[in-house]
Amino acid sequence: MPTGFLKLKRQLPKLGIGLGLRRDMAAETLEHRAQIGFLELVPENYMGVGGKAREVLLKAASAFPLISHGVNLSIGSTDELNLDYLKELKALLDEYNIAWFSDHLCFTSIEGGYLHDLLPVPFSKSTVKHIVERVKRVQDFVGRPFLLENISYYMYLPGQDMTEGEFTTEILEQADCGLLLDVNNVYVNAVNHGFDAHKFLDTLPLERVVQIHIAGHKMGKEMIIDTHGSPVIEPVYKLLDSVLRKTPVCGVLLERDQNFPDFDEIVTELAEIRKVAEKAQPELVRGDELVRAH
Amino acid sequence: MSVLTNLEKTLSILWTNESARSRYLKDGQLPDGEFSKSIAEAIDERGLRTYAELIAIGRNDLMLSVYPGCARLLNKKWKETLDDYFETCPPKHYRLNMSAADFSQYLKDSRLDLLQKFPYLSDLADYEWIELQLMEDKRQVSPEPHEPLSRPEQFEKSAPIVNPVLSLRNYNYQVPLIVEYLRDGEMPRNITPREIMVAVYRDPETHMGCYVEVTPGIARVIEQAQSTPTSYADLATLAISYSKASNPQDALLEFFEVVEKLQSLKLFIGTQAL
Ligand SMILES: [Fe+2]
Repeated sequence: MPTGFLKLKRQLPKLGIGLGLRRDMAAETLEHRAQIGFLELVPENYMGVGGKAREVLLKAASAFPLISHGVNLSIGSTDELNLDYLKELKALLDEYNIAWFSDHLCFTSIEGGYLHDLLPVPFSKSTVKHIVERVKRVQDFVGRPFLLENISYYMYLPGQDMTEGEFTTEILEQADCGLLLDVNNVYVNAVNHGFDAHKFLDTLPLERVVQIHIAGHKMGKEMIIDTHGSPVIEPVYKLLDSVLRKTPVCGVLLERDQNFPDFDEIVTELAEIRKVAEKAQPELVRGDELVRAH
Repeated sequence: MSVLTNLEKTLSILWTNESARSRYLKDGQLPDGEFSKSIAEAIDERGLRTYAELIAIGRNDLMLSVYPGCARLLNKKWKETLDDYFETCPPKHYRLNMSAADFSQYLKDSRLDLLQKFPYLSDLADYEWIELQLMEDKRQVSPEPHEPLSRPEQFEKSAPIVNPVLSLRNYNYQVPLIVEYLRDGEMPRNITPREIMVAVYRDPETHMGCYVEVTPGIARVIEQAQSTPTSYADLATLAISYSKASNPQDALLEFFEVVEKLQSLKLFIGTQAL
């Protein structure tokens, strides 16, 4: 019988196939309720913000299940956790009764300065200890299921004494939280650092995956970059398929943050993701259909 | 300082500071020397360059979206200015847009060289920033019906409700004109110092930013009504003291016109009883 987070995971709603709520596509997104199972918002864009952003959020909340995906918790930083941030975050999650929230396994700030980028931490036992303690405090404070996402990293940091798989597993198990598995990030890292993405998946505690991210990337000057600005490619769909066959999840989310195409293309991509999910994990999409019909 | 703190700090300097990064890439010299040689040598150069580029792109995208006019004006100096701005004013807020908040002040405090060439630059930066700040202001605005000021007791016993998402800005140059030039792809010409006041506010229905140039008298009326609920009668007295009309009746008529105008612009968003 699972306990702790794994037990909690069984009680979470199956939201199906979702889309990131972005200002540039908000109007079309809100018009496509039938094609979208749920929306993921970036809380920093709404915390303490009124005007148009709040109007969009209220409309989104009245039509879709919402979940929250933060970018500046900075769980890997050695700065004190930002209490003002946590208070505002908790207030937002409570106001919209958000089923789970997530952020990235990285740091984004140091000595009070925010770099506004997802920056890697060394895969080491001492980093595990540091992050586990902080995740526990965040979970206690917010009181909702919490997921950490694997990032795309463009360098390994000095002082590592673990693999990424060991590092991630230790943190998730010791802190007893969930995994937001970004399969595009897995692909990007595998190509940039020369490892087998499918073998890497087997080093993760997949039973803790609650949500999956899928997105596109592009070739940068020296590496491929996780831009969320192009269509999802076939090998990334394969990774999605592989994860869905291994563990039940509650949602798969398409991330698109720039280079916005015609919304029809987004709808086509969502349908493609749905097709993969229907074959690999039909119960995920059934849940989604129930929600959408409701 | 813990090893992790030291590492995060050092890397953040290498990622964001071009000269520190060049020194490291050239001769392996780190910004502070608390590292063992083995760690210093293990910093991946390709990764350094990639993160440096990603952070710079993020900052440029943000600043371009907030300060399109300043960017056009500064042209080739834009990149160097941004690097120095972020070095001088590192973002202290978790909200990305707030990283742009101090740009006008930074120009005033640290960039006399740029202000010598473009004396209106910090005014322009303030003008471009304030719109974003008001667009994001968390206060909710619900307009209420305006009551016609036909009866004297209404005039004495009621006060306008001022749109709370409003800021009165004092500029030394005609910024709206400068913005127009820049929007048309032209460099501003013949810009001489001239003090102006601009009311910048958020339209409660469309949530769009609006700008209106106001006279000193109207600015005082708005300021007074904003600071404390003030009857229309007292506001009229204030407005009349600024009026250039030849007699009090004309000045009062002028005041009524101003009130109507402020209502239609949604700077006044209702009437409250005192
Ligand atoms: Fe992601």
